Amino acid sequence: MPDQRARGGGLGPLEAEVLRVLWDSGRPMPVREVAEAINAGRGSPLAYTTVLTVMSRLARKKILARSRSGRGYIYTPVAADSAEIAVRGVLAEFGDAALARFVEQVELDPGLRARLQGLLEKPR
Amino acid sequence: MTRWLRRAAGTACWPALGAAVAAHVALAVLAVAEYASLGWLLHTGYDLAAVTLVAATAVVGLAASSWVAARTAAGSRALRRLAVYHRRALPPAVRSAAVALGLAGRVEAVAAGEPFAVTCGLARPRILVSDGLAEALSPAELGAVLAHERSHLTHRDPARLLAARLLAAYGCYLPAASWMADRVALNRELAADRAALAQAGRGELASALLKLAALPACPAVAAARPAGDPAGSLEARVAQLEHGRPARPRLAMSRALATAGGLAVLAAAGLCCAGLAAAIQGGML
Repeated sequence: MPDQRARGGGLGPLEAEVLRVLWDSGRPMPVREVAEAINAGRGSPLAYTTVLTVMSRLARKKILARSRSGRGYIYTPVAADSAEIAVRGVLAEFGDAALARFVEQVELDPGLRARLQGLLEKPR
Repeated sequence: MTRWLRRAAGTACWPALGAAVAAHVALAVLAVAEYASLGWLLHTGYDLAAVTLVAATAVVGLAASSWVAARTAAGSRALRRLAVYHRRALPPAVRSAAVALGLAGRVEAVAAGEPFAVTCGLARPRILVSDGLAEALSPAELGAVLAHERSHLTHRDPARLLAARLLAAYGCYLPAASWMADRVALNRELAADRAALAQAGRGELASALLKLAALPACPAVAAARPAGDPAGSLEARVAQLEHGRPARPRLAMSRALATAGGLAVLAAAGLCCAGLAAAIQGGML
């Protein structure tokens, strides 16, 4: 049910296609390879720049992580499936709205981390 | 004695704040009526300033509160959609921990590798966990997390937090308002931790905090999170775990004074508004 998954994740059809290619390959890929994989199963091929635009948008939405490789960039999906993207998006956008989270994810400073670890070691 | 006083102030605080908001809105309605009956240029500068201040602060406050209410409604709808589209069967470890805590039927799992647990919903709160939670935590840690969330659930903390945020938004021009809302949220977290300690060991709660607060390795996710512990909430919770007494962040003296000053100005403006209304009623103007 691609349409339902896309709705849940708030993804467009091209975005969903890009993510499917990346999930299927299971490794970071540059834009050119993703475009080739999409066009392999497609009647009317997509332009490289179209795929680049879609992937840049996904990177801006923090759905893809981008890292430098040689002269270009390679992209990895941050979440394991579109359901996870939806969950992440809702928590990030509405984390402060009428819900009580067990603990906010934070950049744990070393002092606090050490104090928590100290609590693990000595039982009361 | 001070503890008793503080508790009394805590209970009296909410009705008092509610009454203050109601009085402010009523005065703002009076202010608009005064504009209408006296013409838009009131006869003295002082009256004009007072009436305008009361009306403007009420408009700003109501707008900010409506924004918070609209966001909360959108967030609740989004969470409900999540629970419908991405619902998963409860992992067995979560199910048995939930049953042991009397939470059968109140816990739902959604698909997400990232471990988290939240309590949401105003009328009938539910606990939403990711299916990654069961993989990240041991059964004892799961028990600690669910006992913590159960305290949020039984005390209807989502509704309390919403009330605090609505009030803080209404007084958003006062420097102490956001501090007050953060304080309410922190107090609920501390209470939920104490409830968890009654069910699980301190070590389990600490290790669950450590596992769930630490960032995932992925830098793209890290960038979306706040840096550090902005509200000092984790700091206070760790202090409570260490020696039973939390170190709550204090309100800075300058912000307290600015808030008191702002309230005094508002009260004076409100009195002026009420006086004008009485004068109009008495036919003196």
